[in-house]
Amino acid sequence: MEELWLKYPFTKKAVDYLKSIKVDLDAIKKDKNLVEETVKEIESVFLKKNYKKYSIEILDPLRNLLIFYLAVLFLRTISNTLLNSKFAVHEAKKYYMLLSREEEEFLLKLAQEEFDLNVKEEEFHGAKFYSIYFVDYLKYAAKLSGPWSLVNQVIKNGYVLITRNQLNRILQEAIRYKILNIVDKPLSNKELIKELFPDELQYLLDLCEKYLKTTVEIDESSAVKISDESITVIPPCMIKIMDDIKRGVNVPHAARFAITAFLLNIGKTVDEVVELFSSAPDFDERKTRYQVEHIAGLRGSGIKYTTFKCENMKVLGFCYPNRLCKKVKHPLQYYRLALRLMRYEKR
Amino acid sequence: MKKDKNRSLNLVMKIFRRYYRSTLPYNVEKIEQREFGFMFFDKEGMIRHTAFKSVSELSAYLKKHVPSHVYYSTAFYERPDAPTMEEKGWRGAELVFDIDVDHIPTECKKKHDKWFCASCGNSGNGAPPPACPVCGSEALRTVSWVCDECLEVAKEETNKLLDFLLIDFGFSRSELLVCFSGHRGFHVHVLSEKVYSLDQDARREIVNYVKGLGLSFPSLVKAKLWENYGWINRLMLVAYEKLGVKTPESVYKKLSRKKKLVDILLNECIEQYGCQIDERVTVDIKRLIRLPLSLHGKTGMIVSIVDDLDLFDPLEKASPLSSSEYIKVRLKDAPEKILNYTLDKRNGIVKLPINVGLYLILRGAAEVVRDEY
Repeated sequence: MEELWLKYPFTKKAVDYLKSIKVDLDAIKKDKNLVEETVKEIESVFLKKNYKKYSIEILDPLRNLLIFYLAVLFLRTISNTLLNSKFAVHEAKKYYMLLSREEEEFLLKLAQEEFDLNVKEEEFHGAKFYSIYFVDYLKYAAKLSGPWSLVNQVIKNGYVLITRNQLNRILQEAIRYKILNIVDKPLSNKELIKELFPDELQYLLDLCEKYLKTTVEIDESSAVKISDESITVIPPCMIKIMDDIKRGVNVPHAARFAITAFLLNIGKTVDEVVELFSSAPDFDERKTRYQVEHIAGLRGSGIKYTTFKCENMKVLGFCYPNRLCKKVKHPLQYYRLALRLMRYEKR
Repeated sequence: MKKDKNRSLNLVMKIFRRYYRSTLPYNVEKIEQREFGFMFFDKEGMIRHTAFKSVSELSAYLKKHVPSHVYYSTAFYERPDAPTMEEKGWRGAELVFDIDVDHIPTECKKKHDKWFCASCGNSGNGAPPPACPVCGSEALRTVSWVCDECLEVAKEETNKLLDFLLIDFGFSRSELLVCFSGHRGFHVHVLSEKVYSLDQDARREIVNYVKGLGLSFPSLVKAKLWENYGWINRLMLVAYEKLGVKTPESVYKKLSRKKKLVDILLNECIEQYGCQIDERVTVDIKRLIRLPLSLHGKTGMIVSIVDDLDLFDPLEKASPLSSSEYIKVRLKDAPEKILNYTLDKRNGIVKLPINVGLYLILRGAAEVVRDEY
């Protein structure tokens, strides 16, 4: 059992172990294979052609542990939230896959001891299920959408009944948060990575640069003044979603639909919208393009979709109204009104 | 008339001052981490960002300043008196629910509520339409009252909410604080460390749960295994009754490929069991809410703590005054009923129980005629 924990570098037990063996940095620098494997690991996160390929065979847990923390060291030195977010999503998915092969006992221990989740085993008619305290469920599932909504769960005495797959998915979210916490601690000493990656550093930096370049600014800076308050032409709900996407937040599906339909309706092209999503941590260009084209009416039924009306944005929790919002019932109506006001102002 | 107005204000202040002098404030958990807000009879606007180190400090403030309305933050802050939210340092918040008949359509509203169009003078009974049907103006003024029927609806909704909190969410009754809002409904506070850290997204999920928003038919597997819990239980109860069957399997058989029927059942279930709360209150993690045991400045009633909801009678239980005292007032367009008290006439001079009189004075439908109290 104890050895199992080492396969999961983000756990307290793995960290304690790493501390106990007193890693020799000089030895690491000389171990060219280890450095090379770390570069590969970083490539697997940021190189586009590698998306969705996860190396889930961990033959040497200790080596894996070292590679993980060398990659973390690199990211902490670069200190970019977009890169951190992508790294966390990627690693969480990888360990989620690994976890799905573990014994039940370990899964529960990880949930309880590492993430402090209140989870119990449940049995119904011979089938195994789990129940998780609703507060813990919401902590990780409230950001997921659709079938995860609380109203469509079965709750008894504060416990939400879930399947093993659902528990795995919740753990994936928990791992993502955990890894985000680990990488989100900027290191000011740049010398260390120069020493660790003497020949590879420039390549790694280029790789990250290339990844970051795919993000594109959609012009939202234009604003109108309405009685001393500066009001943007794009409604605040849409700005919030775009900001979240750009910051690498994993925004829910409904929000992605809302922003896509909105942007297409104000005349943005499919390419422009696809580019916006390229900073999403789980970006897959082929899939994104397909979905954007679908919403644009270029595929499937041929219907061009419009975005949600304000009432539904509110229900979905995406509404952050400003003063102009009081006058409209639909984000597109807002946009048109704001444009009119701006033109009037310019005159 | 001006004299009557002054007399009325004097009386109100006297009653409020006497109440705060004779009663200890509600013992707020971690009071030093809460923000307080106050409104006054003789000042416009709200004083916010006030903090107290102890209940006795708060008590001294109430006695000295005699506010018309008292609010406290459901949130805990590191520096509750800091002027901006960023500086306050959020440290968690109670989970609160607000049930207010103002937001719930009731039959009795036609009897006691009225609206007036400010631009064309048109008027009508009941809840106001979105715009005036005659001139289309949205500037509508409303006069609304609360009768015992309204309060029954509020109680019913609160009972539904309590079912969700006690049975579905598993809280014990001692973790829940139920308060009369002092006017048209009830506030329910969940006072449990377990929920203080819930963020806005999580609270929205809870709102949608108690409202039944987004409810869909579950898979048959889930329905079979867990038919006795949560919304599935409620859905099955409705389906059994409507379809005349007794097992989840037969419900599914009857519903297969009948989308319309499924929708009808879902709507029926939400109507019957969904709870009409004001979602903004629950989702807002930085909200001020009325302090329990304080007085409501528009009704003169105590925001009283309610143990037995069904037996709760506001005029009796939430009045700061004894109902055996009477007062002479001049009525002006008073309603026929205030909660469960029926008025004999709507205009002119009458003698009323003092709690009813106070209520009407604060709502602007009565003036004191003599300094007798």
